[in-house]
Amino acid sequence: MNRKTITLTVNDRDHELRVEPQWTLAQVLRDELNLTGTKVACGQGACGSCTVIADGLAVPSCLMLAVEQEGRKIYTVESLAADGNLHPLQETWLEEYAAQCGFCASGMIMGAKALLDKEDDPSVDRIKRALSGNLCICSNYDHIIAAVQNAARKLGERA
Amino acid sequence: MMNLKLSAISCSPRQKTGFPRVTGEAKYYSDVYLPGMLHARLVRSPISMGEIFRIETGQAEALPGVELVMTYKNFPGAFRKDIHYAGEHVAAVVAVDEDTAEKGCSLIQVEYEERPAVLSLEEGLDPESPQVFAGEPNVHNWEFQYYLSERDPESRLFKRKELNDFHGFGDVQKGFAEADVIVEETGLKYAYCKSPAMNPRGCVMSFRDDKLTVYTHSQGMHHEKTMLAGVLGLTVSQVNYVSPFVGSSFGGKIAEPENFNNPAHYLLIAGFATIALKKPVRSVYTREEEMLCGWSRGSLSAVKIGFKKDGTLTTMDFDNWMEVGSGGDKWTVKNSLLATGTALYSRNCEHMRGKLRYVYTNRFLSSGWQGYGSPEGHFAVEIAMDSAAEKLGIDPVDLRKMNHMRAGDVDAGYDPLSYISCYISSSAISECLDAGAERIQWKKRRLPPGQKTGRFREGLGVAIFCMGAGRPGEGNTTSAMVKVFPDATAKLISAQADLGQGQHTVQCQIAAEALGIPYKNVGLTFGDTESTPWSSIVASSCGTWFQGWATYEAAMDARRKVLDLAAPKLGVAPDDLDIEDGVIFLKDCPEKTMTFEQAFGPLNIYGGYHEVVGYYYHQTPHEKCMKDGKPDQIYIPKEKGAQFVSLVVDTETGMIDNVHVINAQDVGRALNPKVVEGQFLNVRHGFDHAVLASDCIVDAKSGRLLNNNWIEYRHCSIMDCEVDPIIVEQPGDPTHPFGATACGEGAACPTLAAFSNAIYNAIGVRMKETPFTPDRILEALGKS
Repeated sequence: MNRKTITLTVNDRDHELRVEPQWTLAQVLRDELNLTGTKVACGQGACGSCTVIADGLAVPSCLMLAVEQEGRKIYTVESLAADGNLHPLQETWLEEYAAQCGFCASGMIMGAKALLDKEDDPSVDRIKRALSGNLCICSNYDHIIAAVQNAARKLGERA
Repeated sequence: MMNLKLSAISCSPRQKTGFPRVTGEAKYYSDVYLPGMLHARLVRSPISMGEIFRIETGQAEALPGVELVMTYKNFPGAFRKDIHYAGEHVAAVVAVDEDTAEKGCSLIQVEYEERPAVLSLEEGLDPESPQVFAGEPNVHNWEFQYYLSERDPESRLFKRKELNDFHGFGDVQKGFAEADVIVEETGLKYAYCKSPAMNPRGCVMSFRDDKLTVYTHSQGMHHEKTMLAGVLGLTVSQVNYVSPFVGSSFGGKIAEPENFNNPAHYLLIAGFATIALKKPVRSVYTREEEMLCGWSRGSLSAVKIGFKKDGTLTTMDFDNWMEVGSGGDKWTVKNSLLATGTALYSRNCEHMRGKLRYVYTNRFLSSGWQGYGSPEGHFAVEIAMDSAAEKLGIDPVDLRKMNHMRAGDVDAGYDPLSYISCYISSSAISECLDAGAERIQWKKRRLPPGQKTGRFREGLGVAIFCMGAGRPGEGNTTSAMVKVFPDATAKLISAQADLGQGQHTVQCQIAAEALGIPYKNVGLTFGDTESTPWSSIVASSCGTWFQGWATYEAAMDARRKVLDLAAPKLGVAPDDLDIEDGVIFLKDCPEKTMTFEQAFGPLNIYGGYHEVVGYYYHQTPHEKCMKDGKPDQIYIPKEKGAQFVSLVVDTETGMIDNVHVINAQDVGRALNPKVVEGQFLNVRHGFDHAVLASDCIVDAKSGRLLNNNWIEYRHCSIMDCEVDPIIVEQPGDPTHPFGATACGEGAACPTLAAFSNAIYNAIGVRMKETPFTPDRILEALGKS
């Protein structure tokens, strides 16, 4: 055992954790913090199921070591409906049937959120580029694009 | 049958169990963490063929944190001494955490006695190759092939079937002798490729108080539970199977723990370990293991078709050699016939011979997934039809229109397995061809290959399809339960798995429509076997059709009971009443109404009608599937439609770009158009196999799978392929309460042929081996 004590800031809460140096962020989120909304499907950064937002960037948490994340603000899918109300992306995901099996949804929604945090009205091409690292094995991309566009509209109406 | 209100169907209401899928709260099996849970990791064979000569587990057993080491010696039910493919599991270490289990695995020493292996379909077909199973040939005739005869001139049904070494009817020699034009294509090779799944397979199990709880992913929880109980020596009542969410499957995760050749060994390992240790055990496969154990498919085919001068297809000879790996599912090969004169082209085909063979190799197991053998048959036949169209000088769309199955034509393939032949219940393939051709501008854009010049050449291709839809043969059963409450709400209780294909939503829509209450008033109890009645496995795209009957009839049963309560209070017969938007009313006098609450009557803590329960046990064939009520004249539903592909071939690099796929499919009635569209979008799996080079590449010496990850075995991303879904509706299929048929696997069937035909149209070379890699295209162009 070669554990290090670190403080991870996840969903606006600080967590003091004892972690092995080789543990990935995805592993710690799931195994230590029970934030199982973040999924691991490929373990190689090839599918985006594990996407979380770290300091405003959508990143694959299966490729990041937990010990290197101190000081970063990390957000997982569980942060979105923390107040009991669905985020517009989650609403439109349901309306557009954007989650078939649902396993990609957490990562895909966080990827989309990182985009919408920066851009109010992204084009289809921008949406595709932002989500190009997120696989949906049900290949439901057309519904996903529609959901992101509708969510942008809803967010615009609220603003 | 009821009058449709179309209040809950033919619309796309919000996904029923979508909320936890988008909040991250959905518990897939791999999200289950139990206190004191142990972790299993596996040792896998580096060799493809041979047996374990010596296995030394002492060091692993002595490692602190290791609680159990499992091999063929102490758990012969989960391991075997013989090795049949590289990657076969030979030992498991169960430990306090994954790292310790992994370390334990590295301490196990195994010596193998290696024997020569068969590492490709071609080697399997070579009679000089070693035998995968000693004493057995590698190539087998499929055991259930029949010669059909005594065709009734009026009904066109066959009356007699006899076991044979091919499946068919008529006399192909005579057919070819009388044919004006004969087309033959051989060497059609469908690469050995993998069923995809986001969540790798595995399970978490706990055995407490003599009760086994199994958290896993399942297409048929009740079916797997019963099998697993038997294998583990438990009673069925001791096991609760939990699988609320699946994490995608496409048929490739169907688990049959009693069949050792089915890759469901995680269930055996975790099951035996948790019972032995009385502690929870988790057995989760890595992506690399999922790539190995996910079901494969691949085959070699040859097709010969005879036509009259005018394009009428009269005769077909079809050969299919299906690779099943080291003892996989041998039944898959039957579905390759769907594309032939037994079903898709049954309209004019008088002479049919389908020779079905399955072939053992020392490769990971193969079985049917998403199409179950049908894509392989379509790949061969639909390329040959393209070739025929050119030879006959007929447009490929028109040639298919002349010959494709129509409603009332005969299905003489394997869907009617328990009958001799049956009627096809509906088919609007011509309408699908028209819709797709118009969308892609077929007539305007499709120039003959000879007229194309320049580096980048556009090509258009078409292929049609039919796929089995819902196991209509005798002996298939499923059930559902519906509870109705006094406030005009209801609960559907159903074990039907929602893999992502939308069955949770669609079944609730069916229940709402039958009950006459709003969709939002119908809740769903799902996810484990203890709280749901038996439901059949989700396979053969049977959800809407087969389970749909159970849900519909259970809801109708509850509805009748509600009306039986209301009728005497209104002084009329139950038949005089109807329900709409949750209100009971007199059909002849719609102003006269009654609420559910009034119908149910007074409630108190001691009694009253607090709920009405409807139930239905569906045994096929349903009476609505019999033509004029005749039990020997059965209607068989099919998925059917047309697919068009346009693409651009770069003749310098061999790369394919600008891919656009149109899937036009007749679904009878689209109960939920958005869900239907979602199913059509699955044609992107064909793009994986056509363009992204998804092919299981094994090391020629060791047989190890080399591209066992998602970087080297790629799947279609959001950037890769445009898909245009066209829903063709022709409500009225007699075999479904709302005139729907099915949609699911169908879209996977024609894609590779449509790609090959589009490439031919672009560059004038017929690609007969998938995937269509740049090197193969350059070779075909004489540029390699």
